[in-house]
Amino acid sequence: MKRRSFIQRLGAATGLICVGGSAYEMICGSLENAYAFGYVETLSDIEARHYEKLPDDVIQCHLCPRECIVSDVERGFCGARENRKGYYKTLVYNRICALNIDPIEKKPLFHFLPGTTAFSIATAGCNVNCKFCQNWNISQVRPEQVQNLELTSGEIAAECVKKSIPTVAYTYSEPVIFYEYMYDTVVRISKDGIRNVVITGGYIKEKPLRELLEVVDAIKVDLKSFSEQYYKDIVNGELKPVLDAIKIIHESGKWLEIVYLVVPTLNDSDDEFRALCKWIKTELSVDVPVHFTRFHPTYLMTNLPPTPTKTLEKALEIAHAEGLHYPYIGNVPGNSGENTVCPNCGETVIGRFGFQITKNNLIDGKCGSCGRSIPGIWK
Amino acid sequence: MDSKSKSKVVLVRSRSLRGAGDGQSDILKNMLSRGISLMHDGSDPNMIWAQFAKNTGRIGLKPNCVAGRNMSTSPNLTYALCDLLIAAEKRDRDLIIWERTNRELKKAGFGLNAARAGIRCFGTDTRDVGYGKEFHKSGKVASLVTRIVESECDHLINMPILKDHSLAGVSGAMKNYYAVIHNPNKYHDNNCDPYVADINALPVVKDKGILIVMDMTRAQYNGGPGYMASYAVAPHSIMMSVDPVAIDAVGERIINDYRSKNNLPALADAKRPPKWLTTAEKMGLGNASPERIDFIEVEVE
Ligand code: SF4
Repeated sequence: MKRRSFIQRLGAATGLICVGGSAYEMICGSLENAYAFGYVETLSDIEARHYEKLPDDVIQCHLCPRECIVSDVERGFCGARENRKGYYKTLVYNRICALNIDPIEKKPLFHFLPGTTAFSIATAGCNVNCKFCQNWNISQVRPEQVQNLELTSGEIAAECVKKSIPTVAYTYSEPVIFYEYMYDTVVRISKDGIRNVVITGGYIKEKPLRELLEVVDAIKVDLKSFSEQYYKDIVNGELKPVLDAIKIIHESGKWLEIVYLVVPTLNDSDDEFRALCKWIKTELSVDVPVHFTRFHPTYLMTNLPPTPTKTLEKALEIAHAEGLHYPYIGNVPGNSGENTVCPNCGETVIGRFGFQITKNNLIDGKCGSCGRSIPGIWK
Repeated sequence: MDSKSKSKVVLVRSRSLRGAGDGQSDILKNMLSRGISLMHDGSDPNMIWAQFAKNTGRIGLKPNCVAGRNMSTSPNLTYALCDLLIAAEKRDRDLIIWERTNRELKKAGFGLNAARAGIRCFGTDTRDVGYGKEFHKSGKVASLVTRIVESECDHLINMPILKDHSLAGVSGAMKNYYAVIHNPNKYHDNNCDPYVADINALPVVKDKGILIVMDMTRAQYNGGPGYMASYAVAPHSIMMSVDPVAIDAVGERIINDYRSKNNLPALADAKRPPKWLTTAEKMGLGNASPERIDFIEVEVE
């Protein structure tokens, strides 16, 4: 697809959003005929950041806790970075393989400009390999195996301004692995007053995270479980660095929400829910929203059923019992657990059905019924 | 592979060979024929090539082209083998030289040909090729497999080049099949163990393998898998086997010999022991233990 028709499609999609409120379009690479469109040859050749040169043209990447040691002609675990004669290169700078204009609720971010949309982008690659990944066909492939379009930060800014899209979301695969593109885009589009939200697994080293926190507006972390073993077996990562990253994000004062995908039999015990909630309460704050979302079988985990609603409701109950103020249920449209409820008066402040806002009784960031301040970024 | 019996690994050397054997097709063919003969207790090589030609369908030949022209499988050697098979009445269009990408093939000196006539040569990134739709699983590996292996080829001839590998220790026959899968970068942790073994245990790989011809016209004992001139050597050899574990076990020994001569620590001491060899042996993919390998070394003109 040529860039002009791509932008035209984007225009059409944005038009739909203006009318329908939740329609969106996705352009996403597929492995089938992966190379048929001729623009895969244009992977980027931009020097990566946060790496160290070692002897014999070897490098060590310090972007995420994997800290891959990579020889010439090889790539790190994420597949999006390649050592070329001792220089580490990002292959996905300005190379997007997925684009949606999404409701912000789809991220999900429930305390961030409710009812608005986010220009949502991704590149190929990921630094973990979750067996339940919904987006595996872009996250678990190499960038040359998907259809890439070149899109600069300036073009993203121009589109957002033209279509009055208030936010850009870096999402779907894992924005940590397209860090340079994300960071530069954040800096560029902020100049136009556009907000930036990062949807991540939080598997990132402290230094790049702190640099990112200087410039972004909000981060949603997918905390996949509260068990190291689960991270090892199901995620191919580690829990501790993710918890550390969440703490750093919270301490920075940037808006934080947490998603916990509840997978039947694997991370759905009452004890694990309770341990997670206690940790949020003691290490973060009872005001940090946590979304318990429903799992659907896919990718390498097709042998388990979708999460029963009652399991999610149990998680919600435990979160409330532990004193968390904003626990939610996700991926169950119509469930009352989607609503933001005032922890003071118990009234629904923001009502939701799926990604749509059905009620908004928030006045200047406060509960319209009792005046209690509700934390978030509301305007 | 019956790992209970001994595995034969044959090394054929020719001092007349220069570099990658440019313009020395006859020498390379002679080495290949001597090797295949020794693998079959001295039988007439023409008869063996004829059997190969008769009993196989479409054959995929997999060179290793990761490191560019200087340290990739020699096109001369690859075409010399093709010539022998064609002389034994294999149809040229039933021979497919393949890699992950066309770019890698070209950089290694192969001429691309995705047409229906002649020896075919193309990467998985060729239009209408790509990867299959179903995941192939073995142990810790779950991957999509190139359609070249999944459906284009009935049999595989593995044609690696012997190199040091910074994580796997040895890049030889078994590591060469990382090109079969769509997500090789996911399988480098823990010195590629057990992933190298798991990939080679995929039925689509294991059941199709008929021969390994390891290019040792040049080799590299350190700094791999990319090319580093200071660690490159020219053993003037090829090595042949049907046992991928045994040929890589011999490969490890050869790399370690070069390392020792050049005052470098052995692979195990350099934090990259090819542990996957033992894993592969335990999985019954072949023999890694020296006492189970019948290593034959000969010199030809
Ligand atoms: S960002 Fe990629 S290359 Fe860097 S350490 Fe993480 S997985 Fe490895």
